[in-house]
Amino acid sequence: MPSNNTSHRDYLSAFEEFLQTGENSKLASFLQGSHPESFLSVYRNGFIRASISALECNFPTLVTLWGEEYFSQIAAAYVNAAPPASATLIGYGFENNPDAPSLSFIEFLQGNAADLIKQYPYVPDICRLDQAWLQALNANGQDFLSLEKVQELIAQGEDLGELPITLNDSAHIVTLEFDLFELWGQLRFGELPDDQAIQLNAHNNAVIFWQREMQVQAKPLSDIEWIFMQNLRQSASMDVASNAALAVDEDFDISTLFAELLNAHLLK
Amino acid sequence: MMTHLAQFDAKQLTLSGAGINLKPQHYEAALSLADKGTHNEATSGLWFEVHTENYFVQGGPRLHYLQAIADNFPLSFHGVAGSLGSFTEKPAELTSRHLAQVSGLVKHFNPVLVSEHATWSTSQHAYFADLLPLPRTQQALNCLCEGIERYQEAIGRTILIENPTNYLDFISEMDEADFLMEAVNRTGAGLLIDVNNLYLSYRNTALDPQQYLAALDPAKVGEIHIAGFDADPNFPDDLLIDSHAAPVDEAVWSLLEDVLKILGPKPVLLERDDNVPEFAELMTERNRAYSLLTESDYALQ
Repeated sequence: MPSNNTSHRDYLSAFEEFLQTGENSKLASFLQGSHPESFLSVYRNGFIRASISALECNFPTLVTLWGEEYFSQIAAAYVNAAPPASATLIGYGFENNPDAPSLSFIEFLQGNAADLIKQYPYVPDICRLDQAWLQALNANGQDFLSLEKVQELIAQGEDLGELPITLNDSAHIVTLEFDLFELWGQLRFGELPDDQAIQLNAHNNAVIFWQREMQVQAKPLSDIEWIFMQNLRQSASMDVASNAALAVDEDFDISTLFAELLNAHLLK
Repeated sequence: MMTHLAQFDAKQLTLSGAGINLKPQHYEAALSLADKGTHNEATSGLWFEVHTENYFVQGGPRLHYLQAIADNFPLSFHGVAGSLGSFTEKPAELTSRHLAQVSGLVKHFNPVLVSEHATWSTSQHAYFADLLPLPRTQQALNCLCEGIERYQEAIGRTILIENPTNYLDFISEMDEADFLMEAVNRTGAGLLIDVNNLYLSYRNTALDPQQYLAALDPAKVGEIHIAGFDADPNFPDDLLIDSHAAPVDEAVWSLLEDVLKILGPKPVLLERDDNVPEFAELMTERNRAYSLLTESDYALQ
């Protein structure tokens, strides 16, 4: 048993080592009584199980594709490699998440499960779609530019092209390597027949997710729409975004797209 | 650290009755019970508790429904990731971010109660997603008190700290009841007594519940939790797990009656986090707790 001088920090450090590696020799020295050291597994199992459960919530379509048991095996390996770095599990495993570990779930799969990615090359795209859906759901979708506001601005003589207009905070644009959006929707919402073979074309494309009236909306983007929206997000200028789109397609109809975006509550 | 916050005193409690920890699948069912302006027997003494960390979002249906619940029922926040017992002289950055998020939610919703656990869960770089035990040593006690004071300072109010479930014994210099009472006396916090945790600690480590309860100051106890448990699949004959995945066991109901006799009536919350049944089933258990509070002798005290 450790002496009275053994610090609390030593205890926490020993526990952390056990949780991350399963090695309990240091932690066992802090035990007293007759319980077997194997009871310590309750804590490691609890931590890993809770982290896997969070990954199941964050990547539900991948769970459907692989099945719960197989997903759990892969997820457990990820938890050991990259435990949660935030005291909330919302967003655990996501790419570009400041509250998440430096290694995202996609990066882990690409770096540690090469054979798996070879068998399922579209898996990173599925993860990105799941991430975008959840991020749109949990974002602030209430702050949007309404038709009434636009009419008011026009009546005041404002030039919409010069006003700072950008995409709603809930908008997430996902760039994909495969033509996957329809398949993802079928997997996620349970509409894919069990015996249907998955055949996908490698094709760079984009999908936008956003929140409207508390529900997630999603729409594949044409190349022109993608160019327009990326530029709108970066510049907050309708003029800049329109010019970027017109440079690619001089027949691009900004007014029709603007009306669609307005109606969809996609602008703010 | 000296606190300028008022010491927790159960006599000042404005919350009573029995509540349920609310899950997203039950938002609509819970709101359907609200009927402003008319007396509603189904909602008498009903309140709800949520896990604070589940609402670390910027918008969307979760916050929308939480606001609707808060507009109709008393609301309590129960944190699970505060890691009060792992504060060192330099809190981890992830802990500071966490506190900022808790603070924002508490200030916006102003829940009736805010609670956390006398446990730890984060290191400098990782969150271990479980309620990990503290050895009952002076050093651990000092860390716990620092953690409680930082948490209370961040949110601007006192909190309740919950007793842990014990699965095996770690080194200790004092009994758990004394450990917790020392923590609340030093920090001005209150206690949340989880009766299921108490029962499991009794079954797993031979803790004496009666001796434990006798050591507590009822004026420091602000809330009671009840929940269900399961046998550990790896040690089914020797270890009971605080799973929150089953109905409350009859032994826990019996212990709850003892707790209420000793500590007096307190707000009681039913916890169910896994294998979650229909809302009506939870209300049946909740109503049993409410009946214990309102129909028993100690309700008249």
